[in-house]
Amino acid sequence: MRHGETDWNAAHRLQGASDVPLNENGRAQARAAAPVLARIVPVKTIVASDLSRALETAHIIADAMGADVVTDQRLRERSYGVWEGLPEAVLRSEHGEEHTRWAEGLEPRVEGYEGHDAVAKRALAAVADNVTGDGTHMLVAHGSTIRVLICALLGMELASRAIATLGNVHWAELENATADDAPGNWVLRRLNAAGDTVSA
Amino acid sequence: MTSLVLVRHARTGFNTEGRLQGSLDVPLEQDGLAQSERIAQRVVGEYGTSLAVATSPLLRSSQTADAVAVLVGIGPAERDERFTQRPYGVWEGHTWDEVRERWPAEYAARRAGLDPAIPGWGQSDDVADRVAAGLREWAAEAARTGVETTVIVSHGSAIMLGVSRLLDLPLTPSRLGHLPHGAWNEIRWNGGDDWRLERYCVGLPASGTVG
Repeated sequence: MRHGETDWNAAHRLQGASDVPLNENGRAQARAAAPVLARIVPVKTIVASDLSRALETAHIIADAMGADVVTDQRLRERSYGVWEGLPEAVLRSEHGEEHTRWAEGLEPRVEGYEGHDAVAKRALAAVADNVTGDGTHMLVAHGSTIRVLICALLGMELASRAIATLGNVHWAELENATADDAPGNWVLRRLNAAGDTVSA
Repeated sequence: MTSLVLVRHARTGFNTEGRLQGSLDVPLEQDGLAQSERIAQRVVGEYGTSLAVATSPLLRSSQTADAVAVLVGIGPAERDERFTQRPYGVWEGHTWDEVRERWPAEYAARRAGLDPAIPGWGQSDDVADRVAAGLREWAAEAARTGVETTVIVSHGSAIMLGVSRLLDLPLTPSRLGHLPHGAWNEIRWNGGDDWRLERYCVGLPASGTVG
């Protein structure tokens, strides 16, 4: 699941590794989804990125299902380096060429930008360590990290833009029904599901 | 930029019995027709009434699509052969239990997501090409005429294979999960080969079926 809305989300500013808190709307999004999730994925533990927007989202949902929250910093958002804090309009107007590369799924040449391979490697390691045993596991993380992770689990090109970024407090569901937990053995069961599309 | 919303048809009596349909033209009965009305309400509730609506010509799909088309005042939905279901060959009309008993090796291959070697089976590559060709043409037409959302009602395998082809995903085994009746996907076309999966398997209540 992707975290709830922040003020930077609302202002279309890139957050990356910056620790921007949820805003009131973000907390309301998590509260609204919590009872639905408590019914359909009543997990005992939620694993969250330690950035506060993900961690607080996880806590709001965990409270509704009586679950614990543990953090794993390998689920943090991709670092956008010197782009963090810049509104998307500024990226377009002042970093046009690199912004276009980025929008097409390529790696922008930006100081401090964390590449697809690095994001995939740490997110897959977090999955390998936290998603163990049968049953359903729930992770709360970030838009770009989740998108790269989905591509990796499905065996797709990491540079692919064929998978949309999740909305705030929207989720994807992936299943591995095989005995082999290698990337590429996973199946996408849902993408961009939300409390109101999986309603009572 | 235009979006295609791909909806799996309502449930037939064969579906309820776990009997394979493929190219068999099994109509919706009372229960399936009522379900198609609920599916139509959900789709229109989500995407509004400015829709183009296309469908597989098989009755279980076209009856579902017509419920949407009538609700938005354009019915009936346009039939397009390219959205028909994969033929299941000699398995059509049998239940999965019967298939498992009579064709154990081929059944195991299918369970593993492969194409079973049985007479008449529609090969994944062929079905994917056919469905994807239809999806590309409907998207191009929608973009040309300014239609933002085109609803296409089709079948589980046909939808999964067509979407997999557009996203360049492997087909055997599928990387996309099972679609319950009435669930839909949304794919956006940004021109050329730029297809993006926006949503997969949404639109259902938490019980997993549309009643």
